[in-house]
Amino acid sequence: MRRPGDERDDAESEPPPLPLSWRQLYALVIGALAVVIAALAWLTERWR
Amino acid sequence: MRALDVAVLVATLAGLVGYGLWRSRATRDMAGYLVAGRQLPWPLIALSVMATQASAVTFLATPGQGYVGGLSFVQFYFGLPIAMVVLCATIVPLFQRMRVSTAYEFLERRFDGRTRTLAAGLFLLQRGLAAGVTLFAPALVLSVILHWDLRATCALLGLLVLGVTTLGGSRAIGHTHALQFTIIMGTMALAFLLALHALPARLGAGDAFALAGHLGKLNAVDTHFDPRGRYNLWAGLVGGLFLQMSYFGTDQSQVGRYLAAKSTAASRMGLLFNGLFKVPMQFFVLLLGVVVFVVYQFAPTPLFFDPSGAEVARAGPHAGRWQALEAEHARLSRERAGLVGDWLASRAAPAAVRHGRAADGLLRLRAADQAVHDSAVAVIRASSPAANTNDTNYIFLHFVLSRLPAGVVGLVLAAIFAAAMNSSSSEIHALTSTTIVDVVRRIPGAPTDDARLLGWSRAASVFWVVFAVAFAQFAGRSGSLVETVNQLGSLFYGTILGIFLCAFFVHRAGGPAVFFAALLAEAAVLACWKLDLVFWLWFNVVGCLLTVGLAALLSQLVPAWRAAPVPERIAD
Repeated sequence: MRRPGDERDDAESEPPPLPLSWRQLYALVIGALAVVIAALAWLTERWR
Repeated sequence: MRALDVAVLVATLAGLVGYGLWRSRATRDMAGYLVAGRQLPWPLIALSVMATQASAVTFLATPGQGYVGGLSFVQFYFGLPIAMVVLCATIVPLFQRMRVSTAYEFLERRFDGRTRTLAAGLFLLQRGLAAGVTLFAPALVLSVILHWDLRATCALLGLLVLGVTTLGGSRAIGHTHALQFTIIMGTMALAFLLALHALPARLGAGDAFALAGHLGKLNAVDTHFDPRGRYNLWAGLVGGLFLQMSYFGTDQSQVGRYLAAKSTAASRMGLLFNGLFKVPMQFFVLLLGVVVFVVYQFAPTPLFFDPSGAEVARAGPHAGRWQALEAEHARLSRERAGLVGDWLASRAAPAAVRHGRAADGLLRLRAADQAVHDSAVAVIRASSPAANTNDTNYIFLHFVLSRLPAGVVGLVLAAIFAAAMNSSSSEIHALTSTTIVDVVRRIPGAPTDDARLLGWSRAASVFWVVFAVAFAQFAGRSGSLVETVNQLGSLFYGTILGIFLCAFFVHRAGGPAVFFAALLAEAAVLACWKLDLVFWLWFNVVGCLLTVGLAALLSQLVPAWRAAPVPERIAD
């Protein structure tokens, strides 16, 4: 039974226009955020 | 303004409006007007999504925010990339599969017409008010520079936006957004480089960062948790996540942008692109404000950046006190310039010397100057209680007009106008779409043919522009513009998001349970605001969690308020 929000159909039938899967793209976005926050935390400490 | 600036401003705006009108020629039916025929590729969606959020407020008030409060405001956006991922994995494919024109259409299929009306009504209320602030920001620019009447300038801008939205609809908006956003980002990058160039020649980048850091402007991350604190990591990650999920998942001004995509993949790519680049973009806009702050450590600044506020004080009963404050501010500026030189020279010295007289003196002067500024605000307020007492929004303008060369000033002003047209056109189009799809089309006997609905849509656009212009008259008294917009949204976003989350995760909840839960949650949010219980970013969390929790509770307590056990009815 398909539930609201179930994305299997889209994820399988419509890949991203890049050589990455959707999961890899999501990980890229979250990973980039983590790097940016770490860099900004370093900036804050470095120039305090 | 110099002739070259006027020429650049007029030529850029004329080109943008002409491009928008040219792009609008293909819009002849409601599908084209509402969702651009669902034909736009992902790069256009990405730029349109970013352009919609990055209003003139972003480019006018955010550098001022960086000047006054440093980089701390960047934390506000930390929840955004996470929100993009969550939405791409959940709500975006569902909206695309259901072929809805507005987010609220979905709610009637999941719950009932009453819940759809409530969510659409909350959106119309908050976005209608926010549209006023979005129009006010650039109107302020022109009224200050050209000494135009502020109300007339608001009305003029409203007419420009009306031209794009009423004629072109979603397709023209998508295409003009891409062009305008490119111009805006190029102009801001140029302004950033020129701000760096305006630093004294003896000051290296390391010196500038050290000075900004010493004076507390490089405070990008604050890990201290305080529910009533303004900006910290936790408010940004948690409160920001809820705010951005609500904004991008349930606010029609954004949903309408990615519903115009030609596929689910294009919608997702547009949002993920935004998730990747939004935080760095905001960081650089704030950093621009910090660079301006460093530039002004070596140059005299006005006591109050809003010239109209200063005029009120000079002409009022406390003019003598104002003059004394101006003299004190000028003396502190001269003393600061000398101390900054001493401090820079001492940076190569041992720590004991480095943290000695000059360093302490700079901090003392900063506190003294803040006290003088506070006194100036008190004088303005005493001279005219109705006068503006917040000059944050004028700081970047002051820098542009006094420091940037001819031609670039016109370009920056054109970029601010373009940004205002971007976000306002999305807002007015979203208000129009919601009014037509969620209100007018549901009225018994309403027109069903495309030609008449297009006429109704254009009439609704006119109504919402007039509403926004009227509200803009009050927006300027509300403090920093960028905060005002988000604060207004936060009063309603949490509840709207809660309604949508119930649709996904509280399968037992039926329409009445969600409807009354949302009403109670909204009352609680308004109470939090009136009683000043928490910082406004947390309103999103309170509204959302209360809506979800109360809906689950009510559907448990009242069997008649439970949903029929057929969740697939909304998925097909």
